Amino acid sequence: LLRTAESASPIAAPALAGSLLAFIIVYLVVFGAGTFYLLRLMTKPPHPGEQGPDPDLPSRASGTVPGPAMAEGDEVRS
Amino acid sequence: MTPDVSLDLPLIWAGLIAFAVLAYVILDGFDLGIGILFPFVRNRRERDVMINTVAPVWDGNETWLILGGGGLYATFPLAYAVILPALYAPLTAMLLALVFRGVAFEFRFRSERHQGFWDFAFAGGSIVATACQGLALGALIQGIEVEGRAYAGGWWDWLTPFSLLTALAMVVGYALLGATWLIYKTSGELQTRFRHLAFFLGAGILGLIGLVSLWTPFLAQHFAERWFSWPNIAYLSPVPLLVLGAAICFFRALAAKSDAQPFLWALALFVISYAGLGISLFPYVVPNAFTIWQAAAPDSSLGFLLVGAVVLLPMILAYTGYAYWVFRGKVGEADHYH
Repeated sequence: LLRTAESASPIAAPALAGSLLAFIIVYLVVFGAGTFYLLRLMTKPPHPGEQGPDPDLPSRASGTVPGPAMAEGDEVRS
Repeated sequence: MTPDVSLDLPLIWAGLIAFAVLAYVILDGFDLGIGILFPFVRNRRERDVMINTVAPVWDGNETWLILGGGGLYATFPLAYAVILPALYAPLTAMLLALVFRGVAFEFRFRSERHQGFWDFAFAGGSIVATACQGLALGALIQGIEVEGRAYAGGWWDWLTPFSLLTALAMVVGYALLGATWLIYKTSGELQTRFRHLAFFLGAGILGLIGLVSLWTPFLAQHFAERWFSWPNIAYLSPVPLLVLGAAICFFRALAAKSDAQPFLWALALFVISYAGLGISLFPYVVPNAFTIWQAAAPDSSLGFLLVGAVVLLPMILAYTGYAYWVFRGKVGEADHYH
């Protein structure tokens, strides 16, 4: 039988606390920013005659949404 | 269905993990290199082009990091249990840096106003992640203190002049891969600029490979014996000659203004150096502490996992190759794969 205490790795508690704190902060920043951008996009309602993405262009890589869907207050990037 | 027990399963798995790590280093190497080169390119449009050369493939490249780490955990649990606590700080920092870099790919296109910040996160994340990999490599080569079957060193053992040198070598090396990749993928004035950069980075990495290679035998007796004892020295003397040969071919390709060849010769430099590292370490997985056979999981586990690897690895290789084929060719300012 292997107890949990016996299988713990030899890493000191402050090192673990430090890394846990770092992960919490980084995730808060990253997910916070992501939620912020999502909400900003959602404040921009759809309107009649809106043009969707060009169906001839490949549709996946960085920047999943084309220029016209940029958040309000930003310059629209073509 | 159990594979033939006469197979040397630990050796096969060591080969597979070594392959996964090499695939990671050369594939994620050039896309991390693009982040490292960001501070050299201030123009926003040009930065978009740089990002778009790797946008379709970069996340697939990190598959190999997962495969290397997960494979080590499953097949060499003792090595995993010793190496990861020893490298706790640099590996944690590497993961956090990769988080920033990964989201920067998406977010920098989302916000014009915050693009400066996400560009900084992209470059900073790439540089920190690369430096941490170099620190981890240096810490592993210089040796990890082991007592019984556990790590016995301190928190800061990974930080030494040698590991700082390997960190610098890693940053320069990945920047070279990134610059030569961009020579291959871009054109015009931007390409010319990366040709100039690649020349200096190539000279830099050659010097750093030399320094690390000369330092390594002084770290531990077994490295010196491996390379300098007779008859090894006769068998192994082609290794430094191959490095020199690849370097000459690299500079010639650069001077000839070839598109793809500088990248291929930079890859060759990495592969030869990696082979040299393998020659230094083999048969140890934790240098001078555990051999691959001492650290391996039971043969029944290794055999079971090998069946999965035999099915999955060709599939990963096939779709990776296909992705590179689909997105082959030059990337210009008009191409954005939105």
